[in-house]
Amino acid sequence: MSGEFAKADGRQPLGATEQVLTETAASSRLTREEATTVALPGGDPSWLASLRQAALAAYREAPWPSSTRDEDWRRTPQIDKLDPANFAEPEALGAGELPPYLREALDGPVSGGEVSAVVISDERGNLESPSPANSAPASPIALGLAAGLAADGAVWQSVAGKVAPPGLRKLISLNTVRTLGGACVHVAKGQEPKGYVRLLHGVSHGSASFPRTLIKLEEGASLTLVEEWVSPDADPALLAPVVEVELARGAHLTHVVFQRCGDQTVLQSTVRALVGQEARYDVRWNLLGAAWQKSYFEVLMLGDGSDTRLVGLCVGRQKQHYDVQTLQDHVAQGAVSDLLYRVAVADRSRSVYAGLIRVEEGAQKTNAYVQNRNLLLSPLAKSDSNPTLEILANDVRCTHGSTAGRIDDNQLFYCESRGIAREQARRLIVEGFFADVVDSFPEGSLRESGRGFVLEALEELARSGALAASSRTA
Amino acid sequence: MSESASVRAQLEVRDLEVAVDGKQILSGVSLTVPQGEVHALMGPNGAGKTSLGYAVMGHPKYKVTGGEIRWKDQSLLGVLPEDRARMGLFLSLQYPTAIPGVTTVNFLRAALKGQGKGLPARDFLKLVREQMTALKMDHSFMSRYINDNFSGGEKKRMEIVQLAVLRPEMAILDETDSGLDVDALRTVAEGVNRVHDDGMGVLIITHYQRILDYIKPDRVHVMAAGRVIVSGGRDLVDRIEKDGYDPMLREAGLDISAATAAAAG
Repeated sequence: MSGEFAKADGRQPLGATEQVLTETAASSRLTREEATTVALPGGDPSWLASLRQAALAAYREAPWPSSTRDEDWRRTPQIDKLDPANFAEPEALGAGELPPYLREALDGPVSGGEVSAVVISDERGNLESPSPANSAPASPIALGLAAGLAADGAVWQSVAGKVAPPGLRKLISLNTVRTLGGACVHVAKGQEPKGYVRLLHGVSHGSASFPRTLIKLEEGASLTLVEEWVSPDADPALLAPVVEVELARGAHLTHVVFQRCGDQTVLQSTVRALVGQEARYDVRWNLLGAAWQKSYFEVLMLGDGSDTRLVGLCVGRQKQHYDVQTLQDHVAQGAVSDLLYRVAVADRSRSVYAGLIRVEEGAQKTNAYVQNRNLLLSPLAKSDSNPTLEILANDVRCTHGSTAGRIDDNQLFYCESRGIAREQARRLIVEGFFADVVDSFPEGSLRESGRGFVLEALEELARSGALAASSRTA
Repeated sequence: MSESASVRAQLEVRDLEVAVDGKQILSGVSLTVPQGEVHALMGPNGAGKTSLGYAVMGHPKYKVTGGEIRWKDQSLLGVLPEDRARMGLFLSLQYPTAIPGVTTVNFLRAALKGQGKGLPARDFLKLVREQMTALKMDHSFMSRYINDNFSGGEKKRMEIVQLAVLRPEMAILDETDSGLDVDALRTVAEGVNRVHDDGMGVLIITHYQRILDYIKPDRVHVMAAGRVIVSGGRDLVDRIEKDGYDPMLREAGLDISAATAAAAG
């Protein structure tokens, strides 16, 4: 039924169609307890096949997460109802075709800057960019998963499953067993490619997609990477990306994530990074659409003097549910990690945040901060925030804090008394609430995109009347 | 019709009673400020001066429980603050509110637009720059978040920049002089006077004579215990400067400790 999906990779030998069909038929045996491994178009390298087997064993062994048993899931009971068996097989797609939602995303605001490479994936695996206008010049920096592994297997063997090992979590195991596409991003020693790399990971309605992204920056290399997680509205879909990042000494990765999934899509993501000596990892996330989601952002500060800034925002509306969990794990000495996460929830939406700073024994001179600020735009919106510290060293500076509150009446009155209508005033104040997050984006087109996404989210809130709701005392 | 057009616009407060959180703050304030005139509003701390300003501008916390507020022969009761602003009223706050994340220039643009006075971008920026220069504020304040980490004096000057950009017809200035040094006070007063010269009425709330040397009041009202106890000419200012409020409070039959112990300034 989907022999075509092999066309995602043009290097298929003639017999490939048969092989793909077998895999697809087998893939219907995906349940919470059992899964069958798939293989990349053209076949897995042997080390990946073994990795998948290990992941499969881990998947079988671990129970499905539970909101009653697992602390991670305590406030997200939606997991109890999620069943990977409920998603359909990928449908066939003609060569060079892109589903409309992906085409739209491809031409979206992020396309405005200087893009050095584009990699696209969905439940079928990697897809080709359809028109030459959209395809950036072929770049060895960023390739689809199969192409990347074929080009440089030795590099990826040391990253895949090493940063985010199977067994760490059930959904990482599942991604490892099932991934058909994603991206390999590799920057050689000392290289600083111009512009930015764009990764677009989507899932069509009704399907499940498990993109795997491997990122490796060699010593002193530097890169800006934009990753978009998208899907159309309509039927339930599952998008479960895993991103593994490895930064060598002195490398600098700026990693901007935009999530704009359809309102029935479930998102399950892990972004996990190993940060080497004096390396810098700047990660920014924008969570602006999904039915519900759970996202892990995890950094392991393995190198002395490494530096990570995690800055994110989320706008929730209707009955959306956003669960973000972060880890700043300090292993080396003298490293800095600083996290700021701002959330605005409207209507009946809900935000859950848990952030752990762990300072391992011997990780002296650590500076680590975590801050979560929540703005409640409706009396029915809710936020839970739980930043925690676990400190095993004695010479460190760590702080954590969280706030939740409504729009300040005095700010509202100040705007109104100057002639700014209430709804506009609320919009202005909410936009202002996110200003320091947006201002932390790389200057230029990406910052403008970030601002654009926030404005778009506010526009949506305004359209549904979520900003008109009175917060005044009766 | 021609008659009402010839009537001078005026701010009229009659027997105004206001409560905050169920507690009576104003108990029968009456005063009238015609457009184009400058009136001073003085009185001891806790007299209700700031509350009067908030009530006139429509702060939702200040509930009118009796009396009237009229502007241009129209009742303001039930009118939203943004509509009062559009009708030409302005309140300069004693403690201007900071809004982190909202730049001064965006705030001003939204305010002008909200009042239907939006300008083309170039004209708008030129206007704001001119007024900032006039108030001796560095143009870098335009891209700073409004009132956020401004000093007390900077906030007051920013209020007058806004006044000059928005050009209301009636302004209530709540202790705009407090926290200003002599030079800043003159700068601010000159800023107010430039708009006043074009016909703006002013109700200036102050504790001190100093600002009234620059912005000359036509009339002076003294509030205590939630009402106006004396109204008169400029000589009242001198009397207060010389003798304080006590003789007036006694004349009004007010117990001094009670009159000054009321909750809101």
